[in-house]
Amino acid sequence: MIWWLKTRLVHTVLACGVAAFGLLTFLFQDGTVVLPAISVTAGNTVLLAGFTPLLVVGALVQSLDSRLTTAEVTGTRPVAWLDTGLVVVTMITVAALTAVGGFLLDSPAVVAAGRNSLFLTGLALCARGWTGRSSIVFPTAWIFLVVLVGHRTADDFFPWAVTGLALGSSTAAVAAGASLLLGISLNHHMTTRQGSRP
Amino acid sequence: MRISTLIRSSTALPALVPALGLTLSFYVFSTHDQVAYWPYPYAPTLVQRSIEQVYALSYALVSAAAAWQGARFKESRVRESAPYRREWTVVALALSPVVAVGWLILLVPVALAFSERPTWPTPVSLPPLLLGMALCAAHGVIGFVVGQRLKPALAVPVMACGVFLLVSYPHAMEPFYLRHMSGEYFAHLGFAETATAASMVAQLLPTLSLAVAASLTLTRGHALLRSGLGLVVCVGAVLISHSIVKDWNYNPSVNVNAVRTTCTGTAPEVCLPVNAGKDAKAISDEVHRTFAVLEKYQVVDSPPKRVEEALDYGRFTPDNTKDTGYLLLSTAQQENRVNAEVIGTYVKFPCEMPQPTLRRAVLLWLEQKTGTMPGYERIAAGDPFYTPAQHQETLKAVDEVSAKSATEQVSWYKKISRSACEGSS
Repeated sequence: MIWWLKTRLVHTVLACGVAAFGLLTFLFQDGTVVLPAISVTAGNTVLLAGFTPLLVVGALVQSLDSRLTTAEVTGTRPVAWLDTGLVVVTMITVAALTAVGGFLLDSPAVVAAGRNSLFLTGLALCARGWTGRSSIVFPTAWIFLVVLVGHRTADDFFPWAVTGLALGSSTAAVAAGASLLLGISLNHHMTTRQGSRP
Repeated sequence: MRISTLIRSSTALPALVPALGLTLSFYVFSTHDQVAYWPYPYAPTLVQRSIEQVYALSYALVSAAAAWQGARFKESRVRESAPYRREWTVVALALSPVVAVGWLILLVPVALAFSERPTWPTPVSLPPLLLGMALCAAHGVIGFVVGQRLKPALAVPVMACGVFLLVSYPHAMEPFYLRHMSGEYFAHLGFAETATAASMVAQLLPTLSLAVAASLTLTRGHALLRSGLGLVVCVGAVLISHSIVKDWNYNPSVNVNAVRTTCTGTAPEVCLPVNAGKDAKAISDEVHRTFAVLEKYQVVDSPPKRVEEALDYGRFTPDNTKDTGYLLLSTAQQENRVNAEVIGTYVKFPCEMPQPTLRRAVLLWLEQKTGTMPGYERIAAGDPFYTPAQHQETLKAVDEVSAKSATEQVSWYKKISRSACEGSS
């Protein structure tokens, strides 16, 4: 177990990623920035906390990507299950962290950042079985997509731009759950089938 | 390395898809209108307006892709193999396709703009483009160095979002000096304006110095010396840049009056940019015709000595004086309403806010005598409370007045301009 935790950089990269995410999200809270956009001409206001979930996703992708290939293919350890467990535990940690933080700071944007972390992690995990560490490109591209063409008007998002939607939106909540479930299942399936990826 | 191998093996190839998609989308949905707006194709505007929205995206993409290249460079352990070529040439070669993608983001909209408004780039029009290209390279170096420390899974999102936010947010926030130093030259250059050397240097230095400091980490030598040098370069560059821009408001310094003009006629002498070409005579004739009517009906005592194209003064149009008027003649000519531009400027009421319906009657009365009258839609576009019935009524009144003798019309005008101001200060 300790061997596996060290290989996956849980105590270094993943812990630091989640900590940095928490710190920045709590710092930004409901702070916004005005950015250029394609879909609206002016006043494209975006939550700063919309960007921080990528730290969790990035750290998780790097963590899952850090392997001891030869030792892991021997099959003496249930590596796929351990990986899935790692993802689940990280997601529970992030959700709990943002739920508590959002409650204490009275900031819905913090809780939404936790929800978005689930969605974006799911997005990356869906692709990870095929693209390996390049899967981080998909959540990053998604964030840019929402910033540039996600706005219908200056303060309203299209329904597909789920990471931009407010905390109360059921579409966004369902999308986050579905994305994470699909991502975890696909990632688990691909890890068992292929063993470790190069 | 063969060029095809260089491109195929680089992160630049997958980055090409979002790069072209984004830059073309920005052009079609946003820049295209800006480019079409100006009455004359003017190279500095075509260059700067085409790229001001995509500076930040090009930097962000180059930075993220370069970070990935940097990580691959490190993983391939090139530095540990026996030296065959100089190390900096290896790094430059690895970065060149990535930087080229950034340049493409900037060059494609400029090329499209010039093909849409046929003219040639001039030397004074290029600095904003060269600034972007230089800073693409600088962001490439910074990203590459970050990639030495951080794996792509973290470096790509951090650099893409970080650079995008740091470069593009300052132009919507205060203090103003940040926007003049971020590397995004969001100046909205208009006709007759060009970028100043000072504003280019101020935009260039901070990022460039950061790139120099970052590249020092790739060199060998005393660590303390290198970091000290890097710090000095960065602080120095930021201070120089800040000293240039500290007194600017949201406008950077711009050169204006960068176009040649020709003046024709007298009373008033009409001065237009040489770009007006064959339109100049039509504009000048319409101005003279309009002033003749204004004089005849005693709306003005005498025309100004000279009427100038306001666009020649860029964003800083001088106030009209008794001798000189500054009118948007070329823009008006495009919409066939030069007479309305002159009338709207020179019909004066004794008060600040005349009653809109009566004011409009006076304007229409004069416009009918001098050329085209604006249709209902055009007036309603500027006044949401204006109804078609009102328009018909005004037109009828105008027709009635115009049928009378000149002296009667003059006294009508005097009466109307007085009653338009009743009840207002």
